[in-house]
Amino acid sequence: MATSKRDIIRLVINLIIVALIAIGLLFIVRSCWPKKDLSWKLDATPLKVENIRKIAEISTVNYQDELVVDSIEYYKDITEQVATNVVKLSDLENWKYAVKGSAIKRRLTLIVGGEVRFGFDLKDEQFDIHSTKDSIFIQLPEPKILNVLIVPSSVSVFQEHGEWHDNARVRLQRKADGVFRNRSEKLELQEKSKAQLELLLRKLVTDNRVLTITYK
Amino acid sequence: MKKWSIILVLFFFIAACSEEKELPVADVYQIHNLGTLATTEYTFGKILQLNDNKEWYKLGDRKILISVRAKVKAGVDLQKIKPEDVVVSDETTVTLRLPAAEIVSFEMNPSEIRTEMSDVNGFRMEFSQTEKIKILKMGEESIRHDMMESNIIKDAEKNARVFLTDFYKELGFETVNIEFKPDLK
Repeated sequence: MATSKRDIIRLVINLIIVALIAIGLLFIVRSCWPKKDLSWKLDATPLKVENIRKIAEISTVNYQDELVVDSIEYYKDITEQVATNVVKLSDLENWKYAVKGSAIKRRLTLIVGGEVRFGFDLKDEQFDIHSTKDSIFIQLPEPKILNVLIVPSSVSVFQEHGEWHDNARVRLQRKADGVFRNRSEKLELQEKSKAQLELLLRKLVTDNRVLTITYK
Repeated sequence: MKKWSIILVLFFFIAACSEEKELPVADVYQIHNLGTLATTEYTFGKILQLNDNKEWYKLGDRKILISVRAKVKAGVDLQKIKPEDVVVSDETTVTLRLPAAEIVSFEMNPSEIRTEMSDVNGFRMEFSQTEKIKILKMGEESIRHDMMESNIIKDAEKNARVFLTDFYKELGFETVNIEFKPDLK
């Protein structure tokens, strides 16, 4: 008995449905299954000492914080949105954004932890000591930010949608650096720094002379 | 009609699993008192080299070279000095027992991190920023481990001795004895 045209069409439709279900299940497993940690190992390369510097810095106060920095690019118009979303459907990493038809073209969100250190640079010309039989005079520069420490272990990517170059990541980290500096300056840590330094100096100077500290 | 309903349900199920995450709110900060005298700064350079070709089921290889630079400061923690560690024996002699020198800060400036080369072939994707940060974390760990083989701690102790000797001489002491406590780590 010859297969009717109608049966062939039904067979094709059924095959398409089975294929769609299989693809759907694959996507579900990929999206909902916890991702296995990448088992990478760096190749052994030497650590080179590029510079050695003699310094004299007393860190007196630190401020630790964490913040979210974000970079978003939106589609310019609806035509671009539709066209790019269609292309994204075939991209294993970004298809989910196309399904939602989001107006966001790409987005990079980092959570950055950082530490700001306040203290005194004693290599500064304003650092001076004079002593007499019953007094010690120490002149110091004003406390300042010695370091803003942001290391890779304190940075994590919360969301990466679309392709991003290194300079975008660096820009976000610089932005975080600036925010940390501004926030620390608002906390008026200079006075706290001075008080802490005085405590430290009194620990080092244990004789009965009067200690006078001034700042330039 | 029934078949199309199944497809529709499946479609919504997929979309439900891929919802955009909400941004976390991070507004907690901490302030601590410190007392570290940093006396030496080393700048280390390293090339991070990774070959991602271990998994048999991935068609194609990826390799990357990233150059990084770390600035590391070492010195002594003056907060650990106890009153009995500073002994003034007469008007001209002082003896100071300092804690062992240690690493006081570690910095990897993002501007000094550069992807020198990356090669991706077959059906592999380019290295994402998430993957690059993972590589950088491994690099940081490697630098923190390897730098202890350098002379940074010895130099920090030497420079701390010089700095504190000058400091006490300015205070009028003629003999300054400085000892370091052993590192118990």
